[in-house]
Amino acid sequence: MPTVAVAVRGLCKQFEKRERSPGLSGLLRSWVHPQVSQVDAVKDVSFSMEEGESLAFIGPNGAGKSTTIKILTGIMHPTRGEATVLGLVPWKERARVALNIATVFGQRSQLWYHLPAGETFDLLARIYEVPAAEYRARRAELVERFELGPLLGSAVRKLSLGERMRCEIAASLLHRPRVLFLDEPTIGLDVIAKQQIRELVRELNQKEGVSVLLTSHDAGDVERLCKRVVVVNHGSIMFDDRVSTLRRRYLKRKVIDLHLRDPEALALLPALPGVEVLKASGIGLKLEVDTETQPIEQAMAKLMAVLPIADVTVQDPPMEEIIAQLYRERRASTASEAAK
Amino acid sequence: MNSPGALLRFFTATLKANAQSALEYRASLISQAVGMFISNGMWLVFFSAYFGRFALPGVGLDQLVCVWAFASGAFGLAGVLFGNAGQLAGVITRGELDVYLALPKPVLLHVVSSRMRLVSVGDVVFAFISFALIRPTLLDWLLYLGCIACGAVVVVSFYVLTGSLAFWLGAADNGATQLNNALANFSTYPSPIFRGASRVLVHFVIPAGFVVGVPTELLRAPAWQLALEEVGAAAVLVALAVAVFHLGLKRYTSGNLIAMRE
Repeated sequence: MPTVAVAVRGLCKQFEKRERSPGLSGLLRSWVHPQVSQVDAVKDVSFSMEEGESLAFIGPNGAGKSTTIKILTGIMHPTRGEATVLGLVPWKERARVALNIATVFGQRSQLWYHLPAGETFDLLARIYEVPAAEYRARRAELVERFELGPLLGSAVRKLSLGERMRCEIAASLLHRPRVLFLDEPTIGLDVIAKQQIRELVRELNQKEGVSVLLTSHDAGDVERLCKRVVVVNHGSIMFDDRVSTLRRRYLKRKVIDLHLRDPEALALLPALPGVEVLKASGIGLKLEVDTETQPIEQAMAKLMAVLPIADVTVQDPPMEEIIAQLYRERRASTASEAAK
Repeated sequence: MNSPGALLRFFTATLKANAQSALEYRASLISQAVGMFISNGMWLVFFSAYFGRFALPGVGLDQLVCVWAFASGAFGLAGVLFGNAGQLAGVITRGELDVYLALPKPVLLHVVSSRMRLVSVGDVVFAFISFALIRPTLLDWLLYLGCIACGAVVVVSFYVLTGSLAFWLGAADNGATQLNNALANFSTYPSPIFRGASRVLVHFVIPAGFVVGVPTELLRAPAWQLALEEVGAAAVLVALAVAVFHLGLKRYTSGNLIAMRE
């Protein structure tokens, strides 16, 4: 029976926000009569993650993702609610939790800027009290897997961002954590570096059974690393299900790429409700189909009936678009609720 | 996990990493250390000239040398071993405690010990050379080492207290720096200069008295009572600093600045 890696129930975190009118007079007034309001960064969030699972925790900027991760890693105290990581309360048993987890912040380094990464590895082994022989073996394994050999001797400041992130993740795995928290691990990386990081994390999840809780604005990270996704916005959970369900539920458009036999045939294209021409040039034709208005099989049948088609591909819109649509819908419904 | 032995091993490893990080820039290390050495020397010459002209009872050249030996010794040791303590307010304000909180070691010890101030190396060298100038006995050396260790604890604890203000005040970097500078300034004057209210101030508000005043008196006339005062003050201050820091930690709000460990 799988054990629970992370359990969160009714988690809330409020921050104080000082408000003031604009300008110097507003500033001076706020000195005499400070107006402080409470902002909900995390509002009644509940979810759980089993050991060995890979879960994406996503949402727009300011949604409360990083705050939740910081509470789960013992960095911040919640205002209310309960949370356990491997059965321990992070803000009460921070050091014990830290021994069994690893946290990688894309925008915050745990490597010493002026030292070679290898020196930080040695220091981290001391911090986690990894026995010397075990450390040597683990380090050698990670160096090989992450292809760090040529990088270990260079000062961190001289590494590229992608190289540094590989070192960051390897450094976080020296003590064999059971849960890995990744906060935007691919931010600022190029396509190749992103692919490398994703491959390595996926391999860790599958081969070592490390549970992965990922936050990212990159839909590619979500698709390639995680089976389940929790979407959070304004501090509350909006969606918690499999990535494939997210696709199905919010996938209302498909893109059809057609290759015609005859460039003149473009003139035969019928006007179909719910079908929009994205691009037409020579023998190439790109259409977007609103599947609620025009089911894809019907659209295809109608097109094939009138057009001489040499080749066809049907694609889902990118994951990014699905997530953007989800955020937009929620924003619109929140606005209409507020108006009522 | 965090037994005294484990903490000592961790502290030694951090110190080694700090030293390696500092040695990465040899020219910078040497120039800063030499610069601090010269600066301390200039101040000592200036103070000698000043007190030579405006004589203060009980303050001779030997005592001035002692003051600077104790002050630069305590501040130097604090900077070499716990060089990040003076940056604590900024670390808190910029949300840089995250990295330390995510690791399984005591946060306060980790954050204050994670940097070595290069200029402090010059302070320590200056301190030992200037103390040697007064031709100390073995007992004097032992007292001196004990006092600069206590003084360093006082300095670091005071830095932690001023830095922890950031948990309540937000951007407290400048305020903390002013208070830290006040401690350094008060620590460069001989104790007979402080009387009445100013004597209370340098013992209970800006504890320079325990960095320089009590140690110089102890060296002049060793007494158990003074030694206990010095050790007691260091113990009380460190306990207070740890308590205030951990109280503030509950209010820590992190941040989203991009940051690297130096």
